[in-house]
Amino acid sequence: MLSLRLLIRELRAGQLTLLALALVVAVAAMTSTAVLTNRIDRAMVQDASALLGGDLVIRGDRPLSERWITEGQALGLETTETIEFPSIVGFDDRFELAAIKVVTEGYPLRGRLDVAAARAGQGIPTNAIPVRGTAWVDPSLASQLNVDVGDNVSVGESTLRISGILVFEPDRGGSFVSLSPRLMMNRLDLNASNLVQEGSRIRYYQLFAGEAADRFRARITPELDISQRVRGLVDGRPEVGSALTKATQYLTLAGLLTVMLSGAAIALTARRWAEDHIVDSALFRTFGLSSGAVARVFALELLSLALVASAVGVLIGYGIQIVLVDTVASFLTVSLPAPNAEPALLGLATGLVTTFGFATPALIQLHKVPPIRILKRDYPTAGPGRIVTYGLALAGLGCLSLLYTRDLPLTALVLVAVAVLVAMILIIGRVAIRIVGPLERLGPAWRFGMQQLIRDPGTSGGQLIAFSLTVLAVTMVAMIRLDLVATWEDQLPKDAPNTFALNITKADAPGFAALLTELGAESAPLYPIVRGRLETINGTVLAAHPMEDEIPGSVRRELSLTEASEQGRDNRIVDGRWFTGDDESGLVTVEAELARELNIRLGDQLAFLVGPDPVTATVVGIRSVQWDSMLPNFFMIFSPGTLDRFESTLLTSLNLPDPVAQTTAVARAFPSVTLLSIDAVLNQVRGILAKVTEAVSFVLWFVLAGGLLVLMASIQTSLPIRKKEAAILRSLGGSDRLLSQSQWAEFLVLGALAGLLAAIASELLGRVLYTQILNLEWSTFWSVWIGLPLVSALMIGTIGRWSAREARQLPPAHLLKIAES
Amino acid sequence: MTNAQVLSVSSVSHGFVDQDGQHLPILRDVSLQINQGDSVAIVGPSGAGKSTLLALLAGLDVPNQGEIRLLDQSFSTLSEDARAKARQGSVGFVFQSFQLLPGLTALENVMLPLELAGVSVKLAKQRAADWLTRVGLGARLRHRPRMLSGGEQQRTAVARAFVTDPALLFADEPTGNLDRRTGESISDLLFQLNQDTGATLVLVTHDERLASRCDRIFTLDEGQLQESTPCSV
Repeated sequence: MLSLRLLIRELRAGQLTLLALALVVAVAAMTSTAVLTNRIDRAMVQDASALLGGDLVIRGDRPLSERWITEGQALGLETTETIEFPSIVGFDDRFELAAIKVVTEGYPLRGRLDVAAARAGQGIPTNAIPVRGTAWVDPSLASQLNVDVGDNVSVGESTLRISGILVFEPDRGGSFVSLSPRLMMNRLDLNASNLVQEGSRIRYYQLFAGEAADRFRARITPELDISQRVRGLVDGRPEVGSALTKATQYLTLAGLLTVMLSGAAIALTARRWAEDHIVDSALFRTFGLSSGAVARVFALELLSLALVASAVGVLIGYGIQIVLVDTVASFLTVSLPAPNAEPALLGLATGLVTTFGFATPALIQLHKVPPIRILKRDYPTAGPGRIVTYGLALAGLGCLSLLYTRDLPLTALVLVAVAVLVAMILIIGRVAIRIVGPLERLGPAWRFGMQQLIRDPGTSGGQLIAFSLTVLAVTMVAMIRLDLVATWEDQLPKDAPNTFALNITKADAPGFAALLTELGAESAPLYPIVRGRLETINGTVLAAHPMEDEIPGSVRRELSLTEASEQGRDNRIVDGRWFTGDDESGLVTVEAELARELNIRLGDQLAFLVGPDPVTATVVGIRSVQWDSMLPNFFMIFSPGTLDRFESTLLTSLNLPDPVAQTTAVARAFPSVTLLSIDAVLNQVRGILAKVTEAVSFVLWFVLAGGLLVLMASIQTSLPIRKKEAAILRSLGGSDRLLSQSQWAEFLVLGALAGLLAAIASELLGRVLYTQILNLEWSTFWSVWIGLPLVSALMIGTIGRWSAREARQLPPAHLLKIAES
Repeated sequence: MTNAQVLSVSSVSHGFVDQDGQHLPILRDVSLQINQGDSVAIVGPSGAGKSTLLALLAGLDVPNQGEIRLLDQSFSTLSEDARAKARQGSVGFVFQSFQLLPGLTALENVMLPLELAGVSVKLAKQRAADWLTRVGLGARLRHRPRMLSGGEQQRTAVARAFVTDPALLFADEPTGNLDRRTGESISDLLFQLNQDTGATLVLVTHDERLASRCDRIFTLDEGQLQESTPCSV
């Protein structure tokens, strides 16, 4: 109770403002980061799940066994089935090949269909499916058949009335299975249509959705046969999955950096708080309290503060995410899941761990104050050593890192990195402070400024660590944000392909290319597509070839094989080489991940079967492929001429400036060419990335707030001694100008040194973070090396001088009082 | 003197070891006895060890040699925490620089020793207010130390020292930070309360006028303690 009363009194008196503020910022940052990652991540996972129609899709050439459906339902998963196959759809005397999709009640489990009431109508989201006896057609089929809502079309032996125009189908994009225009019908009409016959080319999709999807996936995957494939969120839509992973890593990293900065602010303010309470502690001992009781009084006071400030931080964190999430909610195609209590608990834990991780040294110091200190001001009061102080801070940071990332290696990496950086800054900083010493010859202001740095290397070293870490954290977070956003923009540039064109015959190719030129469309090269199966590596059948794991799913079925003379812009040779003009047929380059899984090396002989015919090729290159580029990509690309003898059609991707109108124009000119618009998918992915970008931009503010607190806390800590020195200087005739200039000199030099140290540290930390955690490419930013010391000098110079103004602006009489004390 | 002995010092020697490992003696073979209700002044030049002696007498430190008995307990053998417990409620302090908690009001500062001793807030508040009124600060209960003059701060400190009804009051240069007039009013207050409550007063001072008001005066010089001629109050 006494602790609580002390806390209230000290809060009222403003003695704990900075400490409380540092705690609130740390907790608010981590809570909002946690709620954001938790809530938006769940929303984005749902959003991305919509691109699959569910959380998990199992595809096969026959329906999934009833046993698995029952098992999925027993795990609480929702499930529904869709069936896809090509068939002719007729209206009057027109007939078009369409991709029929048969759906059952409940489809889609994630996302919504957009259906328009007429061909020219606007799509409206719906949770329904076509009712029995009706069908929905997409605008492309409606255009090719020249039908509208209300017309009857023939599908197999059935006649279905068109009841809507299917404008958007969330799980359609990117799939190369159903490339023809779409007709969607109800499962109840399937038998009457008599479309499913022995030998029909039918694909069955069983969709599952629910919390247990991952668990179910782990159980079912090993038991699937060679014709069945599982697709989940990340492997189903890599362009979204990788963005999600990186964004989550970034948010957590930024949150941890904020906690580290707030922790530094807490450590500094707690030290000041402890110093302010040394006499109080001694006084309590004279009142008869044991050292343990004194420690309990202050520990309970800190605990109460941590709980109150954490609760405030949690509320702010939740409040901020409501504002932020609401502003970006328009991007979502699914409703946001409500925030749960987990981030609140994490926030409270953050407050407690940060307080005691960073403020325990202060408590130890108060615990050790001898009562005689009340009479003898110069009686030494020993706090814990540096190793204990830094060790406790690292332990606190480690606990939090583990709580948030649940990743022990990453936590270990964070701790080692922080320890190495602090040690490096401490050592280099000490040397650097000595080197700048001669600047005192520049005049009296510089002399007083430099003396502040040189006289007490412990204090100035501590300030240098605080400032360097602040500049480093803000720089790293800003740099990573820039790079992530740039990566995402590169991934989906404005001219990203929005349409795939398939089934282009070799005869149509020249005319098709000419039309694209006329329409102003950009296109990728035309790739011939031949379906073939990989049979042997160096004469050994796959099952007998030594490889990393079991045979990857991608080669357990037929692969799309192609040949090309030019290397795709999203392909990079990581081993070997690309083809040269002198190369003959019979060479192949292999996608890097598949090559790793299959243990394929340069010079290996690969044998394929295309229908009954064998094809062999020697591996000359291993390529890394950016699968999320929306450009056509292949596991195997052969040297020109290798596939000449096989029948093939061509495939490419295009960017049509006006996709709606131009798709119709191309379809009319080349009716046999299948056009697949991925514009809607592209927009959806862009929306998700925009949302992630906003989230990552937002956390930068927290890091900045944390950094600002460190600066202020650091200066607050040194304020009493600054006031005293200012008083003495002024009593000896030092002018305001001299005091002001000496503070400028001191903080400018400290800022420049902090910027330089942060630049060195960013080179080390950046390399590790980019290459080991974020999988981004690192390149040295020379602008950082030059700009950081300058910007940091100006920033710290200004903030430092402003924060220390109290030492200059006190009335002379007051200053005298301080000098005497 | 017929009153009971409250403090006894027998053959106490004390000193420090400096940075070079040299032993620096401060007190040599000091002995004295103080009875209940006495007012005792310890005087001496700066650096003579007056504050060190006061710290030893109050149990804030233990001597290198000799024995100190406070309220029938040998402080020389007690642990620091046991000494603190022995002081609780029995010993009050007044310091040269007041040592008020800056974040607390005058009332809260005076309540503090009672709260630390486990007295209820209501009772502590009432007793603290009574004592502040008694020292002339009834109208300044809600003022923080920085809003009080030096004399008022020291009056608050005096109220805080007496609020637990201590048997012994130690004062370290109680008028050292005050002007002469204010200093005199504080010393009037101290001696008045000494008489009213019957508490023993042990003060360390440079101020000869203040010392002369005590029953007994001890002079500390070069580590030796000598009792001077008693003065009239």
